[in-house]
Amino acid sequence: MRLLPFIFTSSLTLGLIYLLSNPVGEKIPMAIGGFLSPQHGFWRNAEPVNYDFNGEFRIDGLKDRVEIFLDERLVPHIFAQNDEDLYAAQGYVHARFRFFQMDLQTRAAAGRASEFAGPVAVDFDKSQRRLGMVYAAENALVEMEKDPQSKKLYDAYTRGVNAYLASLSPEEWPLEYKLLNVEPEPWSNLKTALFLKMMAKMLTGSTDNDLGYTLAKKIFTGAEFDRIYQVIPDSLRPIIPRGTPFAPPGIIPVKPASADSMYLGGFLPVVVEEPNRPNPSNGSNNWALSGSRTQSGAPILANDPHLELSLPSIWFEIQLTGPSGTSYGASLPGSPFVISGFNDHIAWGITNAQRDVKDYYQITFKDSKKDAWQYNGSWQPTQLRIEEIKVKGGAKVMDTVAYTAFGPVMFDASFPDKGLPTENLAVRWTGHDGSNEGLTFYKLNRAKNYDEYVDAIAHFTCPGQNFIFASKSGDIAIWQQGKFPARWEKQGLYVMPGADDSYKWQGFIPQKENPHALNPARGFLESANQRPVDATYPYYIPGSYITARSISIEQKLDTMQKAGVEDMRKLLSNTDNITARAVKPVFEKYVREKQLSETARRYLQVFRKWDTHANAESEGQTVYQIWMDSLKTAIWQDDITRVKPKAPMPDEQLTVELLLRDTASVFYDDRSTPVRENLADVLTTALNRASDRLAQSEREGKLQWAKYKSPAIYHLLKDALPSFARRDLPVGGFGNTINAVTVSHGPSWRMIVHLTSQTEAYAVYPAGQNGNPGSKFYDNFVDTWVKGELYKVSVMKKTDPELNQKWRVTLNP
Amino acid sequence: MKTFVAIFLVAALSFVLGQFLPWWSVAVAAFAVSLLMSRNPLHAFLIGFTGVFLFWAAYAFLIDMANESILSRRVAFLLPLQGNSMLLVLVSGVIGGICGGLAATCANFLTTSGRPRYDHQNYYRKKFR
Repeated sequence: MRLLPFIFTSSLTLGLIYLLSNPVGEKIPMAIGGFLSPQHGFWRNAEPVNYDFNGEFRIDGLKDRVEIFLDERLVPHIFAQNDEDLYAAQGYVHARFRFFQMDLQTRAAAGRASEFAGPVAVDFDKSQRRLGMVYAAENALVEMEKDPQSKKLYDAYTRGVNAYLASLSPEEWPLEYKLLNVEPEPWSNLKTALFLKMMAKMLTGSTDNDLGYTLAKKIFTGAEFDRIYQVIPDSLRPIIPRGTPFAPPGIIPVKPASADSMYLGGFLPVVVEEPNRPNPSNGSNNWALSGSRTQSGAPILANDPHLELSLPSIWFEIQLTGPSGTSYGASLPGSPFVISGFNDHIAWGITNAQRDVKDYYQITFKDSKKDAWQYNGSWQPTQLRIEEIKVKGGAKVMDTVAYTAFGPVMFDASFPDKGLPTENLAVRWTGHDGSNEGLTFYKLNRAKNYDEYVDAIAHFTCPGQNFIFASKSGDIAIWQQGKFPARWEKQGLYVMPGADDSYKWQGFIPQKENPHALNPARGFLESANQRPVDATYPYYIPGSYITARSISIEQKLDTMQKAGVEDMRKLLSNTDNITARAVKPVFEKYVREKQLSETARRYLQVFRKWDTHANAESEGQTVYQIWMDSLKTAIWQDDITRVKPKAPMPDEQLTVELLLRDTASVFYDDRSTPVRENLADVLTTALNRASDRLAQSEREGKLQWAKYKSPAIYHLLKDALPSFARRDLPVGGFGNTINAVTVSHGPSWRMIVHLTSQTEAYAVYPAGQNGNPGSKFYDNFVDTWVKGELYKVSVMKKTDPELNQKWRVTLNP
Repeated sequence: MKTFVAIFLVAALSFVLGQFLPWWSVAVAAFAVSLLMSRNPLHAFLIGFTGVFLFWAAYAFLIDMANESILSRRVAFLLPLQGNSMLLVLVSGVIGGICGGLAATCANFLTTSGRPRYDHQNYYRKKFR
């Protein structure tokens, strides 16, 4: 033995192995050695393009054999003998194709993103925990498991997920675990509840703006405030057609005597800018045409929920066939059931209600221990929840969240920022209340008619949704369903005093009084996140409503007499910019051409020639949008920045109607100049400013709308994995067009269901069924989606299983 | 000939051990084969490196062919290899190979005593005789 060389080389070898077994750095967190090993690492996730998905699999607790046929798009068609087996199989396929996504999303929901992402996610995790996400999920779980039938189904789903996970060795784990150097964690019913709370937060987390309005209250007088925020637009096309009568209110909330002086008036609490607000454009479209408006005489229903676009998608297409029939459509990995789809009798779709269901109360702690707070004249104990945040590659972080009679104290001296002063703000959110949203989908998946649909959706609490409905028997209907507080005028618009119970919610709008419509004379119904009702609805319902798309949808549906599927397809990808169409004449009339720079004049010519369609190649749309953004800044920036942090920008529709109505509004005036500006001034200034930006884009060859906007669909780990994304997609549209593709946000699922005796359905979403970036099914739907096309959906029958069945997976007990 | 057998054995043993052990089992395989079959440190490194390199690179190459480089292209931007799949195959092989080579060299130092220096001028002549 040659001792010294041996010691030298063996330490070198062990040292190298050690180095290669540990993360390289922040940017590349994987351990290179294992990662590059063809037997262990990422190569294992490179799925052969001709992979054979056939196979048999055992799931303990199955009652019978389940057969799953995968078609050529990898859509599973599940045939089970009983409901429990059906959802166990759904859990199995969700896990098989999307487990990492499910694990990541539910950890993030629970405020555990730092376990995957490291210290950068600690603040996000704190905000999740302070909003009470786990508390909310625990409350939901109690409700979900109270009903023995529901509990069985959630248990079965969990069993299916875990059976798949348990069958994997670490080498077979999804790629992302190897990239992040972390381990998967088994599923549970609590995780299903957490997933639903994630959706609830995504869809109601920014539909209130209590903190922003509290700031706005400091700069605008009451009258000014009422002119620019929470205004019902003249152009509103409410979900419930105008003229539909509403029942007298079953509950009349009473404004506290002190409200004028203590709440609406002098109460100006110090607030911070709300961190981690969900994307406010989480919107959607849905519509239903009755047979009177279709070529075939059968109803047609369409739905396209707009969410963050990601790879893999939040949606997973599936057919579920059990003893009570077939349901087909988009499911959410993380939850059993079909969420937007159809069954043998009906079709349904969802859009977000946009209602404000989250309020803040200012409370006073006795001292910094936060264990007592002032309520109804005495010190009441709080419940302290100690939060331990595990951080990958760092020390764990502790946080203490105090729970009051209103709910958890989200903001206090230690959050969001120790340096910023803030009041202690407790949050009251309908998402905190126990509920079993899954029961709605269980029943919808089986509903045969309008009455069963109404019974199904009544269980739905949060996030409030517009459930559109059409049946083979010829009915069309829509309900805005959720649990909505019955508010007195302006209750919860701002942060409320929380020293006693006089400002708490007094009750909820009775479910039967939720806005709804059945078979209107006009022969169609639609929702696109607009205010659901006009001013005749007997409740005060603030929200963050979006107006433009619904106007556009109604204009188009109004003119359709003998509509067919192709009309619906075109409508889903329609890019008619009706906002621009409305304001274009005003822009052209009032802009002062002589005061424009030469560049600006050139872009004005482009704008004049534009047909107001926001299609991918349009240059006019780019000019319009940059001009409009610049105009909004010119009008509002000087006003809303008078406080720090700044007050919310008024809704776009408000600005549009101001432009159409008023050429000399006080809001056009720039407070920083001595002169008083009018519409012509701001329009001209805005275009001059916009032209710099436009010229720069043009130099970069990005004047065409799609090039300027540069839409992209990122992997769930976003910027960390740019090469896993699909970027520079040539799609037009914007938030105010029916085809609502912004940059990384838009129609996340498109569906058309034609309810003829043999249902004819079409669907697409911008990703693929397999979440594995090493699979050809990872992003294979993207190009179809970009083109505005849909796949014809094949509902399989057990009797003709040769139809489209490419692979067969058998699940055995 | 014996060298080829040794290289083949490193690759084969790496494959077998890799079924049960983590990725560093390639080092164990190279170490074991080298204990029995290496002549000198350089020879040891050569069989360890080549055995593991060939195994990893060839295996990765086959996987990549079947996958039509869908995944390797994505990973090769991450690593950063300009999206070059073949480069990623080679890098995989080299990283495994170096571990194998070093481990095999250790083994050689363990078995051989401090032997007299070779006649360098005639080293290769003797070796290939």
